[in-house]
Amino acid sequence: MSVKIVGMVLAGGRVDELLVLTAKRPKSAVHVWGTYRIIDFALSNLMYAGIDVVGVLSQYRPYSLATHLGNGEPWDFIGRSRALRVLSPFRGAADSDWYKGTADALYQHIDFFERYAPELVVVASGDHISAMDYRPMIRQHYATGADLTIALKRVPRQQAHLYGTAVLDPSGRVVIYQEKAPNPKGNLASLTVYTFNTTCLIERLKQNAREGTTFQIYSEIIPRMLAERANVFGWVFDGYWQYARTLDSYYAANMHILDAEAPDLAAWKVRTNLNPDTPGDPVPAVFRPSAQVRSSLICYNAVFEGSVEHSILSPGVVVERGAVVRDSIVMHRCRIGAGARVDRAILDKDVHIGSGAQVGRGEAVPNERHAHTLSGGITVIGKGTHIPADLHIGRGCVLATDLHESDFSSARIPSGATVGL
Amino acid sequence: MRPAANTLVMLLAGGVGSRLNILASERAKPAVPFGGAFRIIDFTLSNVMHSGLEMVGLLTQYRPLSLMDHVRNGQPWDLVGRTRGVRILPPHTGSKDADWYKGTADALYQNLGFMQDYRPEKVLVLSGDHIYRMDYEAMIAAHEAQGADLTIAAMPVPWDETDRFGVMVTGADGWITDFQEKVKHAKSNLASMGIYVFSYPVLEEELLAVVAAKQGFDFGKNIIPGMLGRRKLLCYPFTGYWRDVGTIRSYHEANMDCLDPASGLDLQQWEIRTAPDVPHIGDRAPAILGSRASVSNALVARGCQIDGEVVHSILFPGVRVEEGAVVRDALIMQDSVIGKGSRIEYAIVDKRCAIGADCVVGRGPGVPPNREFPGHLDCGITLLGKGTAIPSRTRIGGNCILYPGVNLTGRALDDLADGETIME
Repeated sequence: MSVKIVGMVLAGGRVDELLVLTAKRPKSAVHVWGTYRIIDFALSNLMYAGIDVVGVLSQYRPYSLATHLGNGEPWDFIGRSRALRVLSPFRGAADSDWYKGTADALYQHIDFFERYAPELVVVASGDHISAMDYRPMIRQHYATGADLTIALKRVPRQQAHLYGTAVLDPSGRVVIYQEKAPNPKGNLASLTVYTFNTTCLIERLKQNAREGTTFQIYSEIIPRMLAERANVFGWVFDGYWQYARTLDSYYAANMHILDAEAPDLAAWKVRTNLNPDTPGDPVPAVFRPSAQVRSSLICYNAVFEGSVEHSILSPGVVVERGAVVRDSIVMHRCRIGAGARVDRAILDKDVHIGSGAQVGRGEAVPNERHAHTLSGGITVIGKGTHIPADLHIGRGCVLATDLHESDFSSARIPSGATVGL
Repeated sequence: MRPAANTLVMLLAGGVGSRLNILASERAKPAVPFGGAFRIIDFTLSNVMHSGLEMVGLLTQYRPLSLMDHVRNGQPWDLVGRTRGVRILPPHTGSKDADWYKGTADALYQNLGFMQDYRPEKVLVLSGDHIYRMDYEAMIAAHEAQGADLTIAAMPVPWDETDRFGVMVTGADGWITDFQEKVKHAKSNLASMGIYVFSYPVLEEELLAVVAAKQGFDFGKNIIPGMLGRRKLLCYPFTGYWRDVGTIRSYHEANMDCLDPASGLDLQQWEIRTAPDVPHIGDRAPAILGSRASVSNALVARGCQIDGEVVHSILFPGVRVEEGAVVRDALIMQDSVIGKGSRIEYAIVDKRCAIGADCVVGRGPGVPPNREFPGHLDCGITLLGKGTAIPSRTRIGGNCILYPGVNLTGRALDDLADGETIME
């Protein structure tokens, strides 16, 4: 069986900076905008680009990701010649092992895409929030006769050092590529989305497996192709793209959906797996007579008795009477007890806030131990943690997953503190 | 083995629902939307699933398209597998006596071949027209324990409504001694819920007999009265929330019961399943409430965008309530738009209606009945059919009906008085 293009999604990484949010899931499975997981964007983009076969490379704690992907049905990747497969590291051949890098992950699964004999392999990142139509990139790839086409986006000069950057000649050929250089020559940032000719990719991966040291596409495959004057072109994308590398930027990326210039989710039609992990089905959100909810994104199975302002609430959230939630991201099945207050916080799934407790009070300070990812005064509480009634938690705090009422001995957690990590 | 094993479900879903008027003019009654995310048949299919039943024959007849799209292969209710499934049974031709279903008993008679293939011990006959949560397994267990030929579920109804039901008289041990179908001055207020457990050989014999007699083809009118005295008929009493949503008033009330924790109808507790990923619903984004939104005592489904005020109402997926609009005591179905400053009160707005700015639709109870259909619509509710378009500043009274697809744009109409109907 042959298909023209196979998609390979890199979805295995943890991204340590997201701390408790990626304690139990890879970054690609982190939730965003209420009902979505980050990988939904790459999968929807591949589906809308007409790509029929997709391999998802997964390594770190893949259970929630595998459950979410299922058999690929939410993205129509089912049928005789359509498929979605979760590709894990495996043992058996002498050279297989945990993935050492993106190039190594692809190398270990050459068998998968070779079986479909595609002309092209599109490599996408599963941890970007983007509305990218891959078809213009693919058309340009054919038109230029490229071996590799790299998706690029113009970024502000002062941010360019955070990315791999390219300089193009007038024909679109990549003449310089620098990975996170302190003073890069260009400001076209790589979005780590690549279109490869299949024969070229296989050859490069095999060569890299023999001779590589970092086994990364960006640090070994691309520089070597440029050095050998292979046909490497850039395709410049100017649509919606967000990448959260810190907890602060994750918070901002989420909240962006409430802004006036936010993308129109209804028109975008991002697909997700609707199989809820609750026994019942999506019951519409219930607003009791005492509810006051505005400037917010809300989902099914929620029950509102209290107040919510400028927040993002996932399915199954319960806000009890007299509770107030502001400027926060509240994930699946969290319960905000009567009279509790939650300000500028990220609550992962199944967090319970006891009645009268206060989260995110006090002055905005960076987290004492994790200021590199959490400096804006947001408090983050890990999955399944239960906050006792009347406890006061400051700003810029991080609380681990699965803490229980008995794990808290004081009545107050000061701003900037880290608990249980 | 669970009592439900070896029981085949025959679900009568052909209902015409004529008293639901335009809500059921383009879809079978079981396919009428309910509770912001569901269709009426979801309640019966979810009961089937929770009761451990595995195989369902779904008898369709009237406008089955929305129903078939919805039920598909039964997957949302876990009715898929080697021995689990939903089979759609439309009327068919081929043998000399096959034809449109002439009645509930005829519908089953025409599908004797389907039932025989499964060689069931018992058949559970259901309809897809009611809102309730019931454990059929307990009823089947009672049928077996008592050695009944037919067990009928029943519940007490107000005496002034007995003429709408089949009613039964029972002895102290629950055996049925008399049965009256929709009569004035009934002997009992114990009403049949149209839920029957038959021992299969008995069902087959009775169907063959009633068809041979050619006197009528209905369970309530022909089969059950004919079995009295000859067979063992057991009454299975039920006392929970149960509503026949066959009229506009009862349909509106049952929907509003979803908002009242004391009503006994609890969508979350009941674990009602639906087919959420059918096209046009599956890819909905979460709902967004704007900075001027005010929503209380309401259900809001996926994909809604609310910038106005919503009180005591149910919004289905993708509804838009623009700034300054007020929606009160209303059901607004999928993808309808309520324009800026408009006021919708005591109304049922079907799918994809476009209501312009500063309109007034509906007035509330206490207005004269609909002149065309006084029997269907006298409770004050105004019905807007699927896809109606209403230009800005239109005023429509109570008990009005606008037929599906009616477009008032560009028509020089005065305000629509209470009780008016516009058909095209």
